[in-house]
Amino acid sequence: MAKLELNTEVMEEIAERLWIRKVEIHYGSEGMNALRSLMTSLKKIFQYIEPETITGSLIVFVRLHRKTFEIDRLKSRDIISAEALPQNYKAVARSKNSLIEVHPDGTMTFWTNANISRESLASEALVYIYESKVDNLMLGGVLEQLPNPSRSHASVFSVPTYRDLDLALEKYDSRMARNSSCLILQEAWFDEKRLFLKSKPESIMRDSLLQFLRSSLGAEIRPEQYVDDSHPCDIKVTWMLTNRIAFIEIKWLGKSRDPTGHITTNYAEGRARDGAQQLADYLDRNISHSPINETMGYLVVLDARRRGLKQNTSSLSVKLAMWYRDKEIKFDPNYHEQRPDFKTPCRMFCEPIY
Amino acid sequence: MINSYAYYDALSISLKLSDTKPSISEIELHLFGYLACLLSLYKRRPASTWKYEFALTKYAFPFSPSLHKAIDALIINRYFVTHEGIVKTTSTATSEYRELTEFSLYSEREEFLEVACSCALVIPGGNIRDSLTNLPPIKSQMRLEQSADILGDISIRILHDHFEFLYNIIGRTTEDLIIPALAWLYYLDLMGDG
Repeated sequence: MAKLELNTEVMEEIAERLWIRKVEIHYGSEGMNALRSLMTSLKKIFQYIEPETITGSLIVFVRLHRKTFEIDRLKSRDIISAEALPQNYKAVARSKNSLIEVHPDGTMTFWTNANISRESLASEALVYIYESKVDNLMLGGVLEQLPNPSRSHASVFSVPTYRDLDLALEKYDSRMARNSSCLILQEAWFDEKRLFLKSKPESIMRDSLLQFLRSSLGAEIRPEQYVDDSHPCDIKVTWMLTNRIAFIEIKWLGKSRDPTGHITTNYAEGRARDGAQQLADYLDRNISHSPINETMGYLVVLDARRRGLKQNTSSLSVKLAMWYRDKEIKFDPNYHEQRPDFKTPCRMFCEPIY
Repeated sequence: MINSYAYYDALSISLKLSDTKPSISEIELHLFGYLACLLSLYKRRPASTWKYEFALTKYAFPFSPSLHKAIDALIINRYFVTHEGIVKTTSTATSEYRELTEFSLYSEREEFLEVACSCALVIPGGNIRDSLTNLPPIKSQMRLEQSADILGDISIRILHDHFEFLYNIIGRTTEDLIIPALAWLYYLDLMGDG
């Protein structure tokens, strides 16, 4: 008979620290019933609210039986279903402390900028807190972090959408862009040493990223066609059966040459800042058109800058070729710090051959 | 011949999961049916009382032929619609389910089905699947790329050992099955990373 190699120490430690066991210890079977209601509601809430956009805190609670207490309803709104949350829980509120009470019939009451003692609330209700990108329960006056088994999930209760895209872009940077390993992206270079880009390499860069994302994400990935700078989005990502959309704007930096060898364009870091502005404007316009959707903007900067490139340059020293490798771009305004729907710009340095 | 227990389980699982998941795949119905079956072993019910079996496909998914046939029957009866492996319940599915819950032979399974689906609230389905395939006999079958019954004698003995230990450290002080269920899944997930 095969002998079990059960690691009893590990199992005991898991059992000792198990958060759900602490719910039962502190609140009994009533707490366990409340927990099921709470978890179900959190799943529904995060179907419509992207946890990545919460930079303040979100408290969600279920009142325990026979506990009566009142929270000032002056700033509250009653919500029939989680589907209506995006229209109520807007960007500004997500940087503050917001509160949702889940009622037995599944409806909710929502407060923005709530001022309430968490410890007091936790003595009357089962309290969940999402803060600093972490799921917590308030148990016995202590914040208990819930384990998150997956890097793809911004919350244990969320659908992997933007976090998946973040990881995919990291991989594209390290595996495809850095050494131009992508066969499509290789076509963007004018010379073998990758000092200059070809004139108007935008569509090649877009197609390279598009193909990579299609093979990486379980989402619909589409190129966007646009005719002017008022519609800058290059790639649109839609996660089916959710309300999540991402717009990716691609900008390149460096110098390009036309087929005759003349330098046609020279884009420095100001181009990246222009891209950020355009993307922010586009996101603002999109909000009014699609208020129910959760939208996130991504600025991807393919950085092909080299120092000292001149018309007749055919090679560079390592120092000059790699000059900009670690030179991060300063964004002002820094939309990624000001807006919950604007990700930190992703600069990908495309290394030359030297 | 449709296995009526599999029919009930498919209906119950899909209604429970659809409350919080935007889409359910047929693969997930098999996965959570399998998890519910394993949880019934924790309560010291013989595996035969689950009334249908599971195998492991060569792609490491739990699969039950009985569940598969039941899903087909639910589609024919218009309680399910499917598209490219995604299952959706129709408006009449809930009333069908409620009628069936009045039978005690199905209501006995509800605890296990409910806990299995509740685990999905805090652990992604992919992680649950990976955790369950970390059990030693299943790992061996995966290396051999065999499709085989995954509730054979060895599997059940190992599960009983796991569950007996869990019961001794948790089960004596709790009635709620979700507590040992999550402890076990977290354990399997952690051991699988090693």
